[in-house]
Amino acid sequence: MVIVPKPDALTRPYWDAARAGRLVAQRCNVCSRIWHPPLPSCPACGAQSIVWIPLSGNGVIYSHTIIHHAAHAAVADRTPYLVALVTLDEGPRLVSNILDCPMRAVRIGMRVAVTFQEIAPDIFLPQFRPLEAGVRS
Amino acid sequence: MRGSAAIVGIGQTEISRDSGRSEWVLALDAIRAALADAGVEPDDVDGLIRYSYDNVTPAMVVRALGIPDVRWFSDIPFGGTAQCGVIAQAAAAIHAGIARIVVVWRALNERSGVRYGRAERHIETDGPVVYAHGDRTPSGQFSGPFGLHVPGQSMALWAQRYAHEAGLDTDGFASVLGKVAIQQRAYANANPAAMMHDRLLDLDGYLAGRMISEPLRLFDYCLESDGAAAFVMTDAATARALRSDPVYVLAAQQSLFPNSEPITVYAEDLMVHSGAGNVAKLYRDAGVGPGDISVAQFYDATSFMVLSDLETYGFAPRAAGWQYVLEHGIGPEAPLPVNTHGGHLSEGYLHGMNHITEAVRQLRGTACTQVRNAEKVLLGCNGASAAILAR
Repeated sequence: MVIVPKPDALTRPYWDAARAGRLVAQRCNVCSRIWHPPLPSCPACGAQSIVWIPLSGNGVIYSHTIIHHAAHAAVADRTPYLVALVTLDEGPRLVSNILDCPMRAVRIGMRVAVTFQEIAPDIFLPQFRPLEAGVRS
Repeated sequence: MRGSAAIVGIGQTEISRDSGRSEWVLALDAIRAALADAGVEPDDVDGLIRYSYDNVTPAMVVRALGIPDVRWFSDIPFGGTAQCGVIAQAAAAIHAGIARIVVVWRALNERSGVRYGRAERHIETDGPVVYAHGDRTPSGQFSGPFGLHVPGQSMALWAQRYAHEAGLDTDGFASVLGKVAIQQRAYANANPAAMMHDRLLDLDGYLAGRMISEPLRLFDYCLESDGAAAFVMTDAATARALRSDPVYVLAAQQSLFPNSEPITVYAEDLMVHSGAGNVAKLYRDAGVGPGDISVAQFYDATSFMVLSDLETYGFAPRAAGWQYVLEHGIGPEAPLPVNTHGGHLSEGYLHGMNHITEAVRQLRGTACTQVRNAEKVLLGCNGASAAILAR
């Protein structure tokens, strides 16, 4: 069983972009601040003029955990699985599973790049995998 | 506000895995016990505060106890942020003259009823589809699909970052966290009210605990509990008329800053959980410093939070709380005994309210593991809320 994101009015552009293979975030048209998760106005200057921009998709692993004890029935058959925090080069942080990498090889500070995983028909998650070829399984 | 309000009554039910009673009954039992301890009647109560997570409403309490004239009531959001938030807001209301005798409660069947260690209450199943919605972390649309579901997993991410910045390897980190868990268990072994009163824990036992979310093992996590606790606060003059040992509120606070929600993963620096200057203001408001604190009761959703709290509240530098624990420990003879009732790890999980009742017992001199000459107690939840109480 998979858990799918339920977009709302504020977040739909993010998930629509992921379906199209693009990682995006909100940027303020006035002060150029970039942030995630989505907000109704700029957290730096308060402007309501906001645009969705494509991101490089490159970042670094900030932290990670291997989860052995499922807290929801939908992931009971997935344990153990890894959850990581990725800090993007543009600043925002995303939650990810690290693909194409053995769990034990995941390290804080590791450079990663975005990839898109189709978890259900036409539903895509932005995910990350190591930039360096050496650590891929 | 310093010293203008005081806690004059505490009440606590049995803490168990299955209370067999409704949360309403638990709340009323704890409140009646706190009122009796304070020596005041329900008729005297004019203010009510609860955690907004509580299922027992102010109206249910007023109706059941027949309180004739409540003039002020309030709900405080979050868990650990509410812990000292209830103290801050009760004291503020009393100081402002809005209320004179305020009752605060938290009642939960968290083990036999809705378990906070499970995510089903936040992630909805609609036929064959399971949806993560909203932007709550954990479990919202940006974390739920990836399997980040409950606070204990967010805290594992904090802890792993901490180990990285502290330069701790897996075994080294386990020895520190284990020391916290084992000491808190020892406190619980001396506390007949603790769920783990009869269960001993040593390092072998700690390490044998199964991994839950690395680097945190079973005994790094709080218990799941049924139970309730309550306290009564009033102005200093009334408090002195009621009893010889009021527990004064020297300072109390809540804290929010962007992405600081207690279980977030989005704050830029996940080593810091308090707004800039907030802890300095706490000590300034109280007129004391870390060196004046006799005992600390830290909101221990996980053992890791004790390390983090030691740093947050000025007992150790950033990423050095682990060294403090190895050097000094947190036992009854340590410079700073911590969670002397066993805490959430080993007494039970009443959302931090049992830390407040223990703080009061320490200052009255009636704790099971009594710290000699306890004069000031720090309550802290990792920067999200804090209070300093004094006799």
